[in-house]
Formats: sequence, C-alpha cells, structure tokens
Amino acid sequence: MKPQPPKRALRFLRWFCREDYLEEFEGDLIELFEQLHAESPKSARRKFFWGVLRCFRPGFIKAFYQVKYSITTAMFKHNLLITLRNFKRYKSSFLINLTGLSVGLLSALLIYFWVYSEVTVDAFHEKDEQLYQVMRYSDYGQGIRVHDNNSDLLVPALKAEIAEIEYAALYVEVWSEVYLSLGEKKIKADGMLAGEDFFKIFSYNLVQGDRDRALVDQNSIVLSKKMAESLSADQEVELGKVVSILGETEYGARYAGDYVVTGIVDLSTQNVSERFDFLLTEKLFLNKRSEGNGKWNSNSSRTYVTLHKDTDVEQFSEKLAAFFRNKRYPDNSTKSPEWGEHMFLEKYSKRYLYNRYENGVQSGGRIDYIILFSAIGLMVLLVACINFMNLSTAQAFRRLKEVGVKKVVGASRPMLALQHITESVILAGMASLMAVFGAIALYPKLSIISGRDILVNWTPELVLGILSIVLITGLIAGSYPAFFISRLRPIQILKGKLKTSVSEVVVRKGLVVFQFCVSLILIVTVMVVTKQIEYTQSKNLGYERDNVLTFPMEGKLLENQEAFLVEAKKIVGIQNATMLEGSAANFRNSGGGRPRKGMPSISFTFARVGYDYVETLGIEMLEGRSFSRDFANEESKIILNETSVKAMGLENPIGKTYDIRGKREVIGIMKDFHFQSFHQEIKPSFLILVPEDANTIAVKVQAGLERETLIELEELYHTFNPNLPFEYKFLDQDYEELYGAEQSTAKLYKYFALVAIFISCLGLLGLAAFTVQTRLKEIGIRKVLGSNVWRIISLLSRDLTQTVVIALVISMPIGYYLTQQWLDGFAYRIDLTSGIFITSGAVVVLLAWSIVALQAMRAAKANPVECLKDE
Amino acid sequence: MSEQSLGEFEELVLLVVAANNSEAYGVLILEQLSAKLDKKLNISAIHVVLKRMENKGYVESSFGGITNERGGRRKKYYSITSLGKRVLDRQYELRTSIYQQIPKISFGQ
Repeated sequence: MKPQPPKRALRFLRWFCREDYLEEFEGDLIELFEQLHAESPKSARRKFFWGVLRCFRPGFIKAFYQVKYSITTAMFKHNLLITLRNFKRYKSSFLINLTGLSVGLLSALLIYFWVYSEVTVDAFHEKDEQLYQVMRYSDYGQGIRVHDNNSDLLVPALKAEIAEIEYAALYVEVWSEVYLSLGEKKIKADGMLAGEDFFKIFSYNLVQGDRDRALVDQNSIVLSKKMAESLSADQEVELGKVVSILGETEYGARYAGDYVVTGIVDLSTQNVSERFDFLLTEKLFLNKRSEGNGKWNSNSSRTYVTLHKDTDVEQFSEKLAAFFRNKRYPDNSTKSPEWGEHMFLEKYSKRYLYNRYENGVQSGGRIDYIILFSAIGLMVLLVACINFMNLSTAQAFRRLKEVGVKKVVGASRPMLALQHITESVILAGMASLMAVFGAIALYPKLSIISGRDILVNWTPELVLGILSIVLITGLIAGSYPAFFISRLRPIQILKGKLKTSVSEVVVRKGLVVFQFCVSLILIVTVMVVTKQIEYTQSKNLGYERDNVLTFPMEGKLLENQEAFLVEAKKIVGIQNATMLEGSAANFRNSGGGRPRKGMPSISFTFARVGYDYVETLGIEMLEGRSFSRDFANEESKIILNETSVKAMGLENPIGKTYDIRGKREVIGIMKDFHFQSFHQEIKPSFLILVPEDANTIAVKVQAGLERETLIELEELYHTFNPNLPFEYKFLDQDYEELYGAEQSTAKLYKYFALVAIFISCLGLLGLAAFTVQTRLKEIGIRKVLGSNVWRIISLLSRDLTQTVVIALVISMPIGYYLTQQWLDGFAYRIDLTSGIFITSGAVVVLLAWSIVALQAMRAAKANPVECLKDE
Repeated sequence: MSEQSLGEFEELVLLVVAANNSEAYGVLILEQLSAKLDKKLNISAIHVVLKRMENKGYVESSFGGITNERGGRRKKYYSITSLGKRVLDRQYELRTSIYQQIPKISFGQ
C-alpha cells in the first residue's frame, strides 16, 4: 500500500484552500511526500506539514462566507468612503480635531496611570484586609496630636494577652544612614529594625531566605535586592555571607558589627510605600535600645499587626484602647477618661494616602493630590470632548446638502446618525490609539515630575480602566453631532434656511463658555501657585541660606568636632563654621513647659547648636549676645526668639533665669526668623548650646570662592576621614525640600493646565476658521459695498467677546475661592491681588481674540471677487 | 513596461515553463529549478509564482488525466502564453543589449 500523508494536515488544507487550487496543490504535495517517504518517512511528514502551512496565505484561502450585498453593508462602505474623503478634503479641521482629542486623552490617561499607581500602593499584601497599624493619640488639653509610634513593650504584650492578634511586629528606624560593607565595598544605606513576624504580616517578595526564620537570630540581616546587587561587586551576595555595619556614623556606632545575610527582598516589583536597604532584628534593637525605652510611656517603635479573620474590628479597637489605658495608667488615677494617651487602629494600606491628621481627625493627605489631579484630568478630557463636539457639529454644516439629499431619497434618521457616529468613532479611535501609545511611552517620565517611582502592573482592572476612558470619550464626543445632524429637516436644509432652535445655540455657546472657564480657572490657579512658591523662595527668612553648606559629622569628626572647626575656619574662603543638630531650615525638636510659676504653659520648638551658630547663619540679635567661648558655663544658658519673649510676656529678660529644659539664664534675644516652612507660624523658639548632640556641620562660604574653598574643605575632611566620601548639601537645597510636595505638584499642574489651554485654543481656532468660511460670501458683499477690514474683524469677533465676558464673570469667583482655600494652608503667603485676575483674564482674552482676528483678517483681506465669482 | 513586470524568480519559473511547454507542472518545475540553482525550494513558493503569473496572463494551465500516482489527483500543466513569451523575449533582449555594452574589462590578476 502507498504511504498515506498525515491526515490532519490534509484535512486542514482542504478546509482553507480555494477549491480551484486545491487539487493541484494537494497533488503536488502528495507527490513530493511519496518521493521523500522512501528515504525518510519522518522528514516526509514534517515537510508535508510545512508545505501545507506555507499554503496558508491570503491568496490561497477561500472566501469563508458569501458577502450579501445588502443595503446596510453597501451604505456602510459608502459611509466609510465619504468619511475618508472628508478627512482628506478638510485636512485642517481633521488635524485640529485629531490633535485636540488625542492630547486630551493622553493627559487623562497619564493622570490615570499616576492615580492608579498611587492608589494601589501597599494594597498588594495578601493579608491587606487584616493588616493594621497601631496608632496613638494624645490629648493634654492643647489639641489632639496623632502619633504613629508606640512603646516597644506593646508587641509582646499584644501577642501574650490579646487573642484576636494573629501576628505582630515592631518596626523601628535606624535613625541615620549607616555604612554597610562587604570586602572592599562600602555603601551608605537606610535601614530598619523589624520584628520576627515581619514577613508573615507583609507579603514582601523575599527572593532568598526563609520567611519564618529570616529575622529571628540577633545577628541576622535582610538586604534589599538593590543593596545586595550594589554590594556584590567583587563577590556575589547570597545567604550566609557576612556583611558589616561600620561604626562611623552616629547610629552606625550603636549597631556596628558583623551580620549574616538571612534574606534578600526584591522591592522593585511591588508598589511599596516604605523602602529600606536592609532590615535588622527586633532582638538587636531590644539589646541596644537607649535608656528611657522599655516603659509604657516611651514611643520608640511602630507596631504592625494582623488580626485573625472574622475579627470585628470595632469591638477589637475598643478592647485595644481599654487594654492600653490599663497598661499606661495602671493606678487609673488620671483626671478624666479623655485626658492623656489613647490607642487606635488604622488600616495599613490606607496610611499612605490618608496621612494627615488635624487635631486628631483624619484630614486627607496624599489623597488630596489624587483628587486634585483626577479633577484636572476630567476637566482636560471634558474640554477635549467639547472641542470635538463643537468642531464636528460645525464640520457637519458643510455637508448639509448631502444630508438633505440623502433624506429626500429616503435615508432614515438612524441611518444618518449611524453615518456620523461611524465618522466620530473612526476619528476617536485614531485619537485614542495615538493617546494610548503615547501614554505607554511617556508614563515612566511622570515619576521624574511626581518624585516617586511609578510602578504600573498591567492588571485587568487597569486595562479595563483605559478601555472605558477611551470608549466613553468616543461615545460622548461622537453622539451629539450625530443626533444633532440627523434631526434636521430636509426641506429647510435644501432651501438653505437653517433655523437652529434657541436651545441648540445655548448648548453650543454654553460649551464654549465652559471651555473658557476651565482655562481661566487653570490660569489663575497656576499663577497663584507659582507666585506663592516664588514668595517662599525670595522672602527674607531672617537668616542667610545662600552659600551655607552642611554635611553630616561622621567617623573621626564625631570625636574631633572642635579641632575640625578650628582647622576649617583657617581656610581662606570660609567665613564661619558651626555645628548643629538636624537641619537649620527645619527645627524638629519640640517641648513644652511652664517657664515660671504663674506663666502659661508654652510649647517651644528649639534647636541644639554649637558655638557660632547665630553668626554662621547670619541671624540678627535684637539684644544681648550669642554663645561665646569667652564665657564659662554656656551650656546652662539660653537664647530666645522674639516670639517666645512675647509669649512669655517678658520685659528685659536678659540676665534672668527661667525654667526651660532646666534652669537657664537668658543671654540674648534673636529677631524672629523662619526656622520652619511657611505653612507654620513662627513659634516660640530658643537655642541651647549642646555641642555633644550636634550631628551636622554648617559652613558659611564666601561668595565667589566656592570652588576653591570646597576643594580645600574636602582635603581637610579627608585628613580626618580618609575613607569616607565628602557629601555636602547647600542649605537652600534643604530649604527647598520643605516645599517639595508643592513644587512637584505645581510642576505637574502647570503641564496639565497648559494642555487644557492648548486644547481650548485649538478648538477656538477650528470654530473661528469655520465661522469665517461660512460667512465668506457675506464678507465679500460687505466689502463690495464699502466696509473696511477692521469693521469686518470686529463683526466676526463680536460673538467671541460676548462668550469670553460671560466666562470671565463665572470663572473669576471660582478661581478666587479655590486659590484662597489653598493659600489658607500657609501661615505666610501672598495677597490675592486683583492684578493676578486681571492678568490671567487679559491673557485669555488676548489669546482668543488674536486667534479669531487672524482668521478674520485673512478673510477680510481676500479679494471679494474670489468668493463671489462662483454660483 | 510597468504593467508587465517580471520578478527574478518569476522569470526563472517562466523560463522553466517555457522550456517544458505544456509538460510543466508544480513538482517538475520544483525539481528542475532546485537542481539548476542548487538550492532547496519550497513547493508553495512555486505555486505562489505560478498563480501570480496566471493572473497576469503569462501562463495558462489545464488539468491532465487521472492516474494512479499522486493519490489520484490530476496534474495541472502550465504552458506559456504569447504575452508571456513576449515579456520573456523583451527581458532577454534588454539584458543582452545592456550586456553587450560592457567593454572588455580586464581584472588583471
């Protein structure tokens, strides 16, 4: 018997191949198969399959269904053709429409990406539903303050005494960066100390190591994958390797020693709010904690817990609160049940977005920005849709005759609507394709602006979101022109009399007014935000932040502070040098007290500093003197600011002694200066001399000598710390960080405002061009009868002026209200002058007017013969 | 000329068809061409070219009789049309006329 070719391949060939070709192809293939089969059956079968597959090409495939040439398909084809011809014929309208819609969609999609990535932060943990952070608030009669840290006794007590708790772990910052080293490599890293249950509570991606055992032994260390990779230049970092923490920074000294790597966490693939380079263990923390911790009134650590499933959270919260009160105030002798400290729960995944409390009440946080930008995205999209609607409707007027003839011949309303919907859908489809590709290409850039890595995991929800944005936009934008046109009456159209009802005019004018309003509000707010940020940068702060550079005290510097400062001052370009704790631009220490019997209790914000602080920062002294080496016992003295003197109600305080963090003699009064951001009022404040606590050196460099001075300073630094890098910052950088959120938001905001204005202008351009075109004959006749160019221009822009005026009236109060709200967040701020509103109004009016005038000018200058010669 | 284009592979196949006029069918063309070119070819490549040339009107085809070979499928024989011949001639003339313009070039070893 003859060899049989593979049946399945043959059946496939017969299924798809054109009947008139089939026999020939089959025959040829079989002949070849038979020839080859004699040599090698296997390869013959393979070749046969391959041959069949090669035949599977458009020219050889049969028509699978008979196209019925019904009217619907014919009309569809016809509509498609007309659509494409129209795009080609009115290129400028087509391009304006396409650009407007795609730019609008692009911005909306980008915002959607950003919002999505922000909203899904920390939501990936498997136990998300059960995962809570234990929070605390305190009420000592001066307003409620919320704290996210607790005593380190809490975790063991919770585990032992409360049944609902499944896992609990404490989480403590290693307060400064430390040097991690492996072999020759030495890298600065930010770390945390975490409880044993950490990896059972959180679903961080532990790529190497055991979730149960990673944080148990005291000498364990878990590294982030990024850190592990940067450490592993000469040797691969893996489990069991020994990594050292060097004692050269302030907190490095506390945890210095060798640690065994017990795990590596990959944080880059998950949307994580809290990043760390390494984790140490709870045991280590408990062994090394400072005195004062280990009591119920301490607050060293954050506490994360998971509850058992089906726990009633409300009941549990009450139980927890009672539990804490018993521990904190065991003798229960406190004044009232409201007074003092209380405990409450907050869902962990909500913490990132809802991170601000005002007087104990949750009052937004990052969610505000999300709402703000979602609103902007929606506005931009709406403006783009309106544009599209207006332009398409206008465009359709050019084709009224077509519609009229079609109606006379018998086209039904749905049919006409369908035609215009097809057109809109095609255009919207093109725009959305462009927008989607643009958004995918651009969204990584957003992280540069927003200051946070944007991590987008392509989940079905995300894709669904994108699709619905695109579809809804297409539908909204496409439906209005379609229904508007299909409703027109054929006789009127063909007679050339088009009476539009009042409501239609109102709708269309209203849409344009709305567009202008959005643009105006955006311009006003952008201007106010920019001005306020400029103000924070330019206002005299009461100290000099230019040419002051700061760097952390590390290594040998910690022991030889004075020697270093003495040497530093010898460098020619250095005018003065001092040391301080924390940052000069942002005082963080606070403490309350009753400076004398009979005085009110005052809460101070203060700084621990070294000698020459006042001089280096150029703070003005009103009275008295600053700390000086010429006097003895300076550590027990104090310098107040004006506000504290006022708050305490003092007269001539110099030389007197008050009880502020111990008995202290006042030696000087400083003029008020801004030691915090402009959001806060200047508070009662003071300086005390505690050189031992200083961790930062500040140096005032002479202007113009920065470069030489820095080189010398670096050399000096390296004579003390030959192995550490010299990393400095300028104080104005520090200062700018205070407004980081505002600045990045303002930047993002500006971009989107520009986009919205751009789209509005495009729309206006399209409309103006259209109006001019429809009135070409009228213009021609007017010119023939003796009208001049300017009268024609003013005639054509009369409508527009009306629209703009209405928009101005509506938008200015809204803009005023919104910016006022925002400025209320600043204690020091610009005044809302009428200048801002006038300028932004003028910008919009001029822009609109020039667009229309340009179009009108072109029409008015044309020779009337050109437009009157035909017909 | 632009109407009657002839690709390189098309020309080769057309030559084979002309050489075996009205005896040429898929497998035969395949075998002759792969022998001459010393290169493996796929049958569907030949089919594509044949069908394309048939559409252009350079070749015409007819079925042979039923035999026991090829699983009982008829062969489809191709023969060159007068248009095909003309195109082939013109191609040939064009080539030779240009070729003859080449001066004697010595590539001196």
